[in-house]
Amino acid sequence: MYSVAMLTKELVAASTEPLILSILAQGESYGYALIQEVKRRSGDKIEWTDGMLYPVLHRMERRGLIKARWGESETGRKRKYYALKVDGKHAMQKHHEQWALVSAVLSGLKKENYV
Amino acid sequence: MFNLEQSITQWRKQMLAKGISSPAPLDELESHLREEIEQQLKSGANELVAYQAAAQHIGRSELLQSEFKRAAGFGGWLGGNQAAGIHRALGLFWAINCAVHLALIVPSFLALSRIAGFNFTVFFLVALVFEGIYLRGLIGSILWFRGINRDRRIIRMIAALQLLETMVMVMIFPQGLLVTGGIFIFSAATIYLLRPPVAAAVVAG
Repeated sequence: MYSVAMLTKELVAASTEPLILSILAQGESYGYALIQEVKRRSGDKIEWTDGMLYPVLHRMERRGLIKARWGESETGRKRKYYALKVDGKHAMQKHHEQWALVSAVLSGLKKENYV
Repeated sequence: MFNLEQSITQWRKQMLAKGISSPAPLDELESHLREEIEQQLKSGANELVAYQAAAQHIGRSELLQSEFKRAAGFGGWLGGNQAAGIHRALGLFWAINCAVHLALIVPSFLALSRIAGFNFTVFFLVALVFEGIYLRGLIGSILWFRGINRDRRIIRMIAALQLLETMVMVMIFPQGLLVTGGIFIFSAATIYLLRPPVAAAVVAG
């Protein structure tokens, strides 16, 4: 196995929204947990900064893709939870189709190059 | 002796001072800061180290502010809410308007004095008075655009001047209704928004 390098800034930016939508499709979550989840799933290869994530979440909220509510953590601390809305579900499906297309084209080209 | 709560309060003040102006994102960032501190404490760091690491991790306020504005797009650039956006847009409009007048007043007054054959010095002095008004207006508009509503009287005066000007212009040059109409609406909106507090209270009931 070879090691995958850290993602470029552009790719991180492009993948943020589909990743957020996909994580929220599994249930509501909050900023800190979203960062940790992506970090864990990518084997530390995708590391979102806090300053980058919240503006994106707020923009998605304004666009009606997700909704937010203030709740409490297990320790009673204030915490803002985000959940997927119907429009967000549609946007996620669109993202999945587009990323699948890019992935399929890339895989095809990669196969051809190795044959 | 390090006090975690005091340090977090201080951190909030720094964020506010450097531009994270609305409380909602700041509350969320604080919540994130506390999550990070908690994790650091769990991994064995003391409160000071945990706080420093978390604060550093969350980023500098200037960068955060620019990220928030960039993500907010044009709406964010205009301001956090609709009212702030309207004030900011009007501030920008009057800044451009005053800058254009500043550039055009002296040449147009001099041209007028030549055409009409009036006294050059008198026209020049009148032009200088108007230059002074528009220079104050320009400064006031820039401040207004930046959220400092200090020179409301001078901007209101310029708006009233332009209101009259547009009414005269529309009679002389009816084809320019679109432009003069636009300026008329902006001027009227400015006069209304920058009305004295007493008048505002009466309107509010």
